[in-house]
Amino acid sequence: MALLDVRDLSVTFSDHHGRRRVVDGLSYSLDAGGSLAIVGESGSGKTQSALALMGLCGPTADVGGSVRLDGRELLGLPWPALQQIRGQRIAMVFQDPMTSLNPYRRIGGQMTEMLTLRKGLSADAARTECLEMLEAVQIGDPSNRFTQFPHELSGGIRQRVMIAIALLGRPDLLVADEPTTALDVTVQAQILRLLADLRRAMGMATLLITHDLGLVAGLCDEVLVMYAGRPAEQGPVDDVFARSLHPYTRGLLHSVPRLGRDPGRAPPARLQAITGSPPAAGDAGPGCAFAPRCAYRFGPCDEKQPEFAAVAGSRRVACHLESPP
Amino acid sequence: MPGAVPGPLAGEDAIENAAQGGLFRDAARRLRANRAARASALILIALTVLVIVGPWLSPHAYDATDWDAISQPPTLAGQHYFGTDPLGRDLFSRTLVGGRISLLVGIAATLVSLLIGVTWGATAGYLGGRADHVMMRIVDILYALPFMFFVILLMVLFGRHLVLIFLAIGAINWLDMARIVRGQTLALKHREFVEAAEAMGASRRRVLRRHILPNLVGVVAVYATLTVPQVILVESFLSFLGLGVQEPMTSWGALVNEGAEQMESAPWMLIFPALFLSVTLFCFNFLGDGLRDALDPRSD
Amino acid sequence: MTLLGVEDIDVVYPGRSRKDMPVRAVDGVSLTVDAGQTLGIVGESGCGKSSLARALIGLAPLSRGEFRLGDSIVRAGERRWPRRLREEIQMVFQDPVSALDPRMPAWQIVAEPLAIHRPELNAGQRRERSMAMLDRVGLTADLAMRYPHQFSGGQCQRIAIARALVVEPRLLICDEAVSALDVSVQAQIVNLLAGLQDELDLAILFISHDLAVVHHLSQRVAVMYLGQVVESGTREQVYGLPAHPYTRALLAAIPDPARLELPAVLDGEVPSPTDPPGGCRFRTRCPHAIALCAKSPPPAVAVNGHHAACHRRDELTRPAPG
Repeated sequence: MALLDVRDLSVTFSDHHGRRRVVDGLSYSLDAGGSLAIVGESGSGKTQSALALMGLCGPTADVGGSVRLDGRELLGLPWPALQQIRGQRIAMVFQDPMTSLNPYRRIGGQMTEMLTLRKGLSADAARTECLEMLEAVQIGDPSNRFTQFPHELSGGIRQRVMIAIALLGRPDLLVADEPTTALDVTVQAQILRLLADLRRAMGMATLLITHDLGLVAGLCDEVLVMYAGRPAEQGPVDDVFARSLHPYTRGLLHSVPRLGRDPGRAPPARLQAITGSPPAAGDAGPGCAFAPRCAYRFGPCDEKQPEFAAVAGSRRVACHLESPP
Repeated sequence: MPGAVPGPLAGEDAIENAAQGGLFRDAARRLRANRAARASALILIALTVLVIVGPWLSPHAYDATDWDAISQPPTLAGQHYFGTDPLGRDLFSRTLVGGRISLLVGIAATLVSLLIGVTWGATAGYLGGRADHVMMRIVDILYALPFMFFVILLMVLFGRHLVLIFLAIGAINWLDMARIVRGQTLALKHREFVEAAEAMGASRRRVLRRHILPNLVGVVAVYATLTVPQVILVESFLSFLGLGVQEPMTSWGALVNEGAEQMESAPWMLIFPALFLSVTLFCFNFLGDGLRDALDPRSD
Repeated sequence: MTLLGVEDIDVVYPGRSRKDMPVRAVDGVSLTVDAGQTLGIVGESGCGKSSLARALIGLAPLSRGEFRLGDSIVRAGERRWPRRLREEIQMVFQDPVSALDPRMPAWQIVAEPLAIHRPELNAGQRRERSMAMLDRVGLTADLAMRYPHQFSGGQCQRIAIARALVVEPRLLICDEAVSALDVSVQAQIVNLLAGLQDELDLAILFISHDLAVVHHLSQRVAVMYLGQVVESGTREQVYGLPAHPYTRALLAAIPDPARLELPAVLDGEVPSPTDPPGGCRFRTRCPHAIALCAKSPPPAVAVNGHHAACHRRDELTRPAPG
C-alpha cells in the first residue's frame, strides 16, 4: 500500500470575488521511501496542493477529494489529530528559512522545543538528539550553532537547520517547498545533495515542490507537472524529460537555456519560448487551460478539459493530442 | 477633501497635472461606487449646509433667552425643536451655530496639520541622513512641549481669538502627521520604482512629487479624516477649560459638556449635540476608508 | 569599439554606526563593454555585481576609480553627473512589480524618462512615443491605460524595458532582469532583449546568477567573487575553458534537466564582504588552495584576452567537465 495516496484533490478559495479553484483533480500516490517532484510555475497550484496535505490552506479554503496516509484519511481530521501528524509523520521545509525561524530565539531552543514538548524528552536527551541531527545535516561545530540566533547564520546554514528541525520527528514524508530558491547556486547544489543523502539514509519519502525542472532530475524518481491547478503530465523523471508527452512540459524544457555538453559553443539565436503567461490560478475556461498558449491547439482543446489519462507504461498525460508532438 | 491635496509641492506644471488626472479621475469614480463613502459625503455636505443656513431660518437667535421656556424639553409647539437650556436659549439654533465652529475648527486645523505635516515628514523621510535627523528632533522637541502651556502662552500673547485655536491645534497635530508620513516615505524610498526614477535622472523634487506623494495619499487621507473628529474633541476640551470659544458663542464640544452636566434633568441637552457630533465623526471615518480604497488602483 | 570603460572602481558602503565596518562591495573592478555587445556578469549573492551596476547609474557610491561612456567621464567623488549619462545608461531591475509605480498607468511610466530628458516634447508627443515603445516590447495600445497590478510579471518587465529604452540609451543594464520571472516567461524576455539589441544596436550589461542565461545572451563574460572579477573573457573562453576554480565550480553547480545526476558540490558559502579572506579571496572554498594562495592575491593574468586571477591557473586549467 502506498504511503501517501492523494485522490482527486481540489482546493477552492471563496471570497467576495467568487470562487477560485486553485487545485483541481490532482491525484498521485507516493510509496514509502519514494520521491515525487511537483513542478509548476506561479499560479499552478503546486504549493497549495502541498499545504492541503497538512491542512494548512487556511480557513477560507475548501479542500475536497481525499488524502490518505497509510490508508488513514487526513482531510477533515480535527486540529489536534493533524498536529500529531505534522512534524511526526509529515514534515515540511519551506522556501525562506529566515521567516520560518523565530528571530528572537536561539537555534537550540527552537530545536529542542520540538522534542521536549511533543515527545516529552528531558532537556539533556533533547539536546543530544538535536546535536546529532545538526551533524546529520552536515553543520560543522553544532554545539556552537546551538547558542546562535537565526540572523547569525548564513542562508545555507539556516536551511540546513530547518531541514534538521523537520527531520527531528523522524517523518515518513518530507515535503520540501522550493527549498533552494532563496539560495545561491553553489549552496543550492549542497542542499540538493544533502536532501538526496538524507532520503537514502533515513528512508523517508520526499515530495519536492519546485518551479525548476533542473532540480528534479537528481533528487526525484517521479515528476508531476502542474499547470493552472491541474495535472498536465506525470511519469518517471528520465522518461518525461527524454520524451515529454504534453506540449507544456516540452515547452518548459525548451525554454530554459542550456549549457549542454559543450558550453564553449555558441547558443542558438533565440530560445523557443512559450507565448503568453500562465493564467492566474482558477482562471481557466471550459477547455484545456494551456490551450491559449499551445502551438498544437485544435478543435476539442477549447471545448473540454482533457482527461488526465494513463498512457504507455506508468505515464499519464492530460492532452487531446493522439500522439505527442 | 483634505486628504486629496498633495501638499504645497504639487501642481505647477499643467501637463503634469493633466497626466496625474488619470489617478484622481479613477479615484473619484471608485469613490462614487463606494456606497458608504458616498452616503457619508452626502450627509457631511447636508450637515455643512444645515449649520451654515440653519441658524438664519430658525425663529430663535442662538443667544436669545426665551423666559417662557427655561429648560424646556423638545417640542414642536413652541418651535424649540431640540428644547432649551437652563438659560432659555434655543438648543436647535445653538447646535447649528456650534456646528459652524466645530466643523470650521475641525477642517481648518486638519488642513494646517496636513500641509505642514506632509511636507515636513515627506521631506525629512526622503532626504534622510542629517536633514532627517535634525527635522525629526525638532518634532520631538515640539512633542515635549506641554500642549496646554503652549495654548495658554498663545492666548496670553495674542489674546483670545478663533484663529489661535486653529493654529494651536494644527501646530500640535502636524507632529503626528509628520511622523506617520516620514515612516511611510522611508519605506517608499527603498522601493525599486523610486530608485528607478532616481536612476533615470529625475530630480529629488520630481521623485517626491510624482512618486512619493501620490503613494502617500492613501495613508494621509485616512489619517486626515481621523484628525477632523480628534480636533473637534480637542476644541471641546479647550472650551471646557475656558480656553476655547466663549459664551454665548458655543461649539458641539461645549454643548456636549454642558449637556453632560444636565444629563439627568435635561437629557435632550446631551442627546442632540452628541448625535450631530457622532454622525459627523462616523461620516468622516467612512469617508476616510473610502478615500484610501479609492486612491489605490489595486482596489478595482 | 569600446563603449563603456570601467577603470579600477571601488564601491564602499559606510557602516551604519561607528561599530559597523564599512563594506567594500566592489574592490578594484575594471571592465569594458563594446558597442552593440553584451557583457554578462555572473556571481553569487554578495559578489558585488549589483553594487557595480548601481554605481554605474548613481545608486551606489563610487568610492574610487572612474568610468567613461563615450565622451562622458565620471570620477569617484564627483557629485554632478554629466546629464547625458543619465540618458545613455538605463537600467532594468530585478523585481518587475516593485520597479513600477503602482499609481501610474503603463503609458505614463514609460513616458516619465521623456518628461525628464526630452523637455521639448509636449504631452501628446510623449504619450505617442510611449505607446510606440510599448508596442515595440509587445504590449498593445489597449493595455497602456492599465496599472502595474493588472499586468503579469512578464508584462511588467516589458514595461520596465520600454521605460529604459524610450530615451534611446546606448547602454542597458539588466540587474537580474529575468530571475524573478516564471520559466516559460523568462525565455520571452530573453528573446525580447536579444531582438531589441539587434534592432537598436544596444550595449547590454547583463547581470545574473544564472550562468545558462548569461551564456545565452552574452558575447563576453566576467565572473565575480567577493567584489572582484576573478575571470573574464569571451563566452567561448570562460565557458569552454574556464581558467578559475570558482568558475568551474559554478558551472558544475548548474542544475540541468538533461543531466540526471546531482550537480557537483563546492563546500562552504561566500564569506562576509566586511572581512574578506587575505590573499586569494576564494582560497577558503577552493579545493586547490596552496600556501601561496593565503599569502598574496593572485594577479589577473591575460592569455589571449582571457583574464583569470589564480596562482595555479597553468597547472589546473583543463576542459570543463562536460
